[in-house]
Amino acid sequence: MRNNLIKIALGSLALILGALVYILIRPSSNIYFITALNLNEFNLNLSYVPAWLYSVSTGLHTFSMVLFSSIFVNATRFNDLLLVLSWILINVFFEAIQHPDIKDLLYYELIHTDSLGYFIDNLSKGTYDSLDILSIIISGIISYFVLLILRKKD
Amino acid sequence: MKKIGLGIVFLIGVLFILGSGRAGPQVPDGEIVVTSFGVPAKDLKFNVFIPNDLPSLEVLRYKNIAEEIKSTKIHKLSFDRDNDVWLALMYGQDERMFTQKYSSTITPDTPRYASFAQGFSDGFSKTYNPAVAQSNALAAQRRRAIAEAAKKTNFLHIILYDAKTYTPIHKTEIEYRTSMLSFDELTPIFIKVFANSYGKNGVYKYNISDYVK
Repeated sequence: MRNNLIKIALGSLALILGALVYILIRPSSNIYFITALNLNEFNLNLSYVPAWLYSVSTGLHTFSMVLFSSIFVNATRFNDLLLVLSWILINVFFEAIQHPDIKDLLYYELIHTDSLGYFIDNLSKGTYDSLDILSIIISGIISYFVLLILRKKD
Repeated sequence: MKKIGLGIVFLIGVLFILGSGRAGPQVPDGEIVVTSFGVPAKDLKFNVFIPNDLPSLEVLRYKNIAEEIKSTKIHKLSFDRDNDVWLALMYGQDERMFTQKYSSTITPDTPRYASFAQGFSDGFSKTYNPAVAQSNALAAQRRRAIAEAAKKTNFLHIILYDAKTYTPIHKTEIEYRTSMLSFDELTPIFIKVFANSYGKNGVYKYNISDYVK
């Protein structure tokens, strides 16, 4: 129970930090949730933001989701590893489809119907960044060690 | 019960990813947002290449931008048709559109252009073979998709490529969020923004009002 509370706290903190990067820092009037929740007015309008900060927010998502998911599985090394790998793969997938080569493959070579092609095109509107991939993997590893520590304390 | 909880967490996690995606161009507030990344090159010389079979309006825009960049003489950039770096200007969302648009015009009597376009095809669209694509209906579908995307998009990419390896040296993505100015009016602004952003890594935000006299 105590471990679950720690996971919820850490996961929520990471998720909130990641969201704050989007809301306060990223020039993001065309981000879905910013637009949908009308959060544009909270942007700090900084004239410069280091590009790596965006990658950190991507990693924070992986970290928080691993912790949240782990609440619903038995705490074993195998399960933890499976969760970490699952979230790394999910996040890497969504990053990878932003890569021009993969966009081409999905949009032009594999999916020929207009509706699916359009869907893929919308999914992949972002800009591929290999730093995001690195951030996802590093945060996955960190989350695994957090779970390991919590498991040992249990 | 646990399985349901786990499923819900995965669903929410994916929704978070989708929710943080781009919703498409917005044009509310007269801003230019620039994402600029790449390796700053010292004493960089690059080529302004104007394909001679572009539609006249495109040539005009291309020349305008090229001339504007020449006139700024920023960051020790100089221009010479025989030097080592290509400048690529792209209207649209990504390299794919450029590749599709320009690689379709390869002709045997324009060897430099063919080499240039083929380089893009090889480097950025390995799955795309212009010769094959043009012979089937998929090519038409692609062109339609590109044309549609070009209408909707409000991105301009300025990319410097090594002419020999076609490796991107510097890339600036300019997203203009205004419906008040025409592209030709925006051109000199783009160049100044490009000058400000060149050689830096990061995301920069400019107000168009700072550039309009």
